[in-house]
Amino acid sequence: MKLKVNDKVYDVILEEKETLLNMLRNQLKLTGTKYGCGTGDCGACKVLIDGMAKNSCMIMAKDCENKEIVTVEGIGTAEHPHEIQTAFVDAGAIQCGFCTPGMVVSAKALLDSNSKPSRDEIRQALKNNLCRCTGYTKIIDGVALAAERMNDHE
Amino acid sequence: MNKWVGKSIPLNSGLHKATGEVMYLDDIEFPGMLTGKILRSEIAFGKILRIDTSKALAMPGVKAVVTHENTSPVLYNGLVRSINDDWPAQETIFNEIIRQYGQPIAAVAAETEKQAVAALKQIVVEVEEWDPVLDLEEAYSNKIKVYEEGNRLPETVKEVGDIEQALADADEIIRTRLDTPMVHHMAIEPHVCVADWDKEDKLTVYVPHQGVFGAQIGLAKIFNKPYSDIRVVHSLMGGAFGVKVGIIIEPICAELSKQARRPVKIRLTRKECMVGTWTRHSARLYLEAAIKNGEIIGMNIREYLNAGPTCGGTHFIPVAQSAKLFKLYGFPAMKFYASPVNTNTVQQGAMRGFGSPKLFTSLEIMMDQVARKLGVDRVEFRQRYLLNPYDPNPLSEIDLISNARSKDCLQKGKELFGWDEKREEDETYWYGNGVGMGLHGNGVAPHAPDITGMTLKLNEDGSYNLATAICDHGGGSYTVIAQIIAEILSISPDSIRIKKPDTENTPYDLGAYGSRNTWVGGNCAIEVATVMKEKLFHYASQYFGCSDSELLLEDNTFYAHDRKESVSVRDLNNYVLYTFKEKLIATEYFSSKHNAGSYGAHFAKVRIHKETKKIEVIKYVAVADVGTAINPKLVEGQLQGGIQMGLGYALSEELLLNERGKPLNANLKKYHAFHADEMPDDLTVHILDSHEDYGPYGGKSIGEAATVPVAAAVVSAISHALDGLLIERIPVTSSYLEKSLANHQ
Repeated sequence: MKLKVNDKVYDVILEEKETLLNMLRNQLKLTGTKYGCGTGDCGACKVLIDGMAKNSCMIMAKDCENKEIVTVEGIGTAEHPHEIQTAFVDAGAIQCGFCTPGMVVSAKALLDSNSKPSRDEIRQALKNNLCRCTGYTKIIDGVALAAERMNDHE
Repeated sequence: MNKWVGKSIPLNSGLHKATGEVMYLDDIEFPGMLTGKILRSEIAFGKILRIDTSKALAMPGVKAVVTHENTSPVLYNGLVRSINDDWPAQETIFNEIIRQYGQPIAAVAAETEKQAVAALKQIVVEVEEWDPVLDLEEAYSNKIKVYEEGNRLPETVKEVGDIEQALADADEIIRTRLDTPMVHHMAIEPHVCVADWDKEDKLTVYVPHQGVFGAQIGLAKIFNKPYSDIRVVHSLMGGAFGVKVGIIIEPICAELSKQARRPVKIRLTRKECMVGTWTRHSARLYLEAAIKNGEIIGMNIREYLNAGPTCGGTHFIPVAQSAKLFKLYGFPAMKFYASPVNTNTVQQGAMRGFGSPKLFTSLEIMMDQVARKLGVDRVEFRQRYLLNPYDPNPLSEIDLISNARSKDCLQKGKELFGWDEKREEDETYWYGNGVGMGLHGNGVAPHAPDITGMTLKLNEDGSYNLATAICDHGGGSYTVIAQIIAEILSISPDSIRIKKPDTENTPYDLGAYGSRNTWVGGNCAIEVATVMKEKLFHYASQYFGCSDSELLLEDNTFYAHDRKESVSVRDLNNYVLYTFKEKLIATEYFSSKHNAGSYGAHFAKVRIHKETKKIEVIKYVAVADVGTAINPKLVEGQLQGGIQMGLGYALSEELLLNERGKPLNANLKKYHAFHADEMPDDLTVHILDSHEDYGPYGGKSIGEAATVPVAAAVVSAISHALDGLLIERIPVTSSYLEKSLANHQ
């Protein structure tokens, strides 16, 4: 089947009951998306599916045909980072970094639909992403900072 | 004026973490790598009567199947930190006796994960189940024995003054108790390991690990190999919090690789991380406060500490706890007795705070109870007993109190919080204000040798590489170390690339635990950078033909003769290399002789729903004494993260077992850590302006200290909201509150 990820169409071989997470990591080598729990509770595997942040460990790869999938790699690279990513760095939103790709994906989904979120709206948008290092404060700061910078540029 | 120390520069590797471009171990494939999976026990106590792996071995893609019948039987303690440590050795890779739910029974290595999982299902195991012992005091009684020789592990007793006399002299004795839970560390990166037992019989283990040299000790013992044939390489750490120390899955992974002669990767599932690594030690504490003439004249603490099925470093927890206990309040008499015991719960082990959170939560509950009884403001009451800077430590002459600023933390927190003993209430909620004090240490001195080494190498272009076996858990230790070296050598922290721990290629380090990184690592960074600087000055003075004092080092360039002449360090390096045939490199070891406390005063405001008994923390203030904050933003991050962990400890996090020792909530849906929307938005962290004498640039630790006072502050607030209700267990859940309020009336 064909899978569209980060604006690129891939020919993939489907294994039985293969999750989107395993497909991304094992076949497409997009390892920015992380396994954290496998039960849809931590958010480390979040990707955008048609603009919505979804846990890729809970979604079968076969159900993703004709959908637009964006992983953290598709949001920005160190060479061309997205403003969310640079804002995370500047706000101190990153420590071990393992939850970060999922957080960036959730933040992207939020800011795409709401360019001026309140602090509470940010908290709600991140509530299905677990982090053990930061206590979330600086991640919320990071999303707020990204929103501010993105609005300034418009 | 410092250029780098004290500045909030961004975290090392931050951008590449934000883009997902950094590689954690599970993101890396090794040529020919197999996948390993572990079969685990479904019972907590019993014996394997028969195990048949023949079908599994015949399954497609299977390259090795290991059990207690074909692996090293060597008894070990996976937590030892020196080749001479004589700690109780109760572990084997596999064992026919099962002592906990989730204990590894067998493991398979196969070409794919799917094949490995399929093969596990073909292993036939017959077991005999016995009644487990799960309660700590029942274990202490030795009625059911986890081992023939009984359940009691080496105990700790520390006493200052005469507690028996104090209890005898008291007008009144107040008694409290506290049960504390098993807590999952919840590093978002699950445990992962790659072992490569190559054809030349050398074992290389790749693992995100807090102490590679410690892992080498255990592996060498199990496999009876010289250290020179065992290499442990640290991979980027996706969170640790104390559970990536010692050896857990490494020996299984190594056995599989040894038998398959291929690299093998094991990555645990979340459930395996929760039941097959370890949790924070559960404990039961009993306290007695002897009161006379309105003052505490004695404090007696008795602790039963759960080790789970094997000792690990559990017997060391009370040693560490006592080192902190006597550094907070000065009572005329205080005794601490602790008995670690084996049980059939899941394995217990180190977690952020290493015994301090439970100990200070119990002590602070007592302080509240006594203050209330005596009708004294709880903050004022604590101020009476807090030690002053440079007071003597009644337990040790080298474990210093030094510049302990706990009193200032408490005062500052009181102001920032707007402390009020008045209780509020409205139609829907009860409100309460709480305070909690606590501290953690800086390294393991004077209880164990506290050594680290670093090698700093100047490259031909003027950049530097630093080799250290200290790992950065993610909190920013490498950023701090780079700031210190940059300060001394007048370079940018970006121009220092840090090589990660590797037993073959980095100098020795004890291990990145015990809040050592800033204290020991920072001091070692000063030494190695200073030696490098001396070498640079030595050669620069020859280059210019002037004395050291006439030289100026600025932005990696030497200036001489009133700035009229200059040479970059890049060109100086070239001069040294080709003129003197010397490569500029420095290796220094630092051994910490002293310890210091990192103190915190935390304040919490809670509201409790009168109907549902739901507890919410609506305001939080934390004040920390970390000496000089080498990177204030990183310190804040540690505090905020420590508060998240502490709030869970106080209110929601607990791994539950049923009466047969089987976990009831081993997933992140049922096991509840705080989410972003549950954190108090009104949260203030404040770093006290201070300076610690023996700390690098006056700095000290925060990683563990950050989480120590949290549960104490929250429980204090709950108790305040409910008219002094004595809390006897954490986490304080709504159902627990419901029950204790009913009993209270």
